[in-house]
Amino acid sequence: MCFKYTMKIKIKRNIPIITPIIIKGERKASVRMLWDTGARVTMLSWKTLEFCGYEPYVIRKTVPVTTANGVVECPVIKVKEISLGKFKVRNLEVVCHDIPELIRIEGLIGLNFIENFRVCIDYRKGYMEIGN
Amino acid sequence: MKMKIEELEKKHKDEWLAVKVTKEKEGIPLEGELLDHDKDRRELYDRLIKSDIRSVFTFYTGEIIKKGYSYVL
Repeated sequence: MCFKYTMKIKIKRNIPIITPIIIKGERKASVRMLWDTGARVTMLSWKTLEFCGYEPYVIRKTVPVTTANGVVECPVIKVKEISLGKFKVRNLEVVCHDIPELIRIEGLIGLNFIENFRVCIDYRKGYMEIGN
Repeated sequence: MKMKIEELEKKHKDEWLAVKVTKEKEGIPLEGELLDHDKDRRELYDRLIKSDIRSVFTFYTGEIIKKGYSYVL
């Protein structure tokens, strides 16, 4: 593949892809997030967004999210910038929802982030390559 | 005290850590100073939200998925 800029991340079979992602607002948090090509949108925990200066409690725009306990309405927030290294997306809509505590991550990287880049997941060779 | 992220993970097993990143490569934190830690992520974040910390790396040091469990997101 021929990318302008690429980044390779090691991945292992039978282990989900989790990388640190930087969330920018009034403050900056770097959190570990799971790459989920089955998720249409990116999802972040309430507390992470609150730390970054967002106010999910007063947001009026919501989307229905199907959970193990049924459908819940979750706030949608426009995040100033979400990035992994040089791969940045500005003004990304993020659903505010806590991942169940049995999974110790702070959110999901969904298609609205992934679709901005060329992403190659090669479990046989053990890497994920991101390019712009 | 600056420490490698792997060293912090070994030192504080099965906890949520809040770290000030002092060295990173392509957005991946490599080294940092421990700011706070807790078994409970919400407790840790409640303190971070009230603090004057401007930038933080938070992560869990144990197994990402609790042993004996599977998941579907």
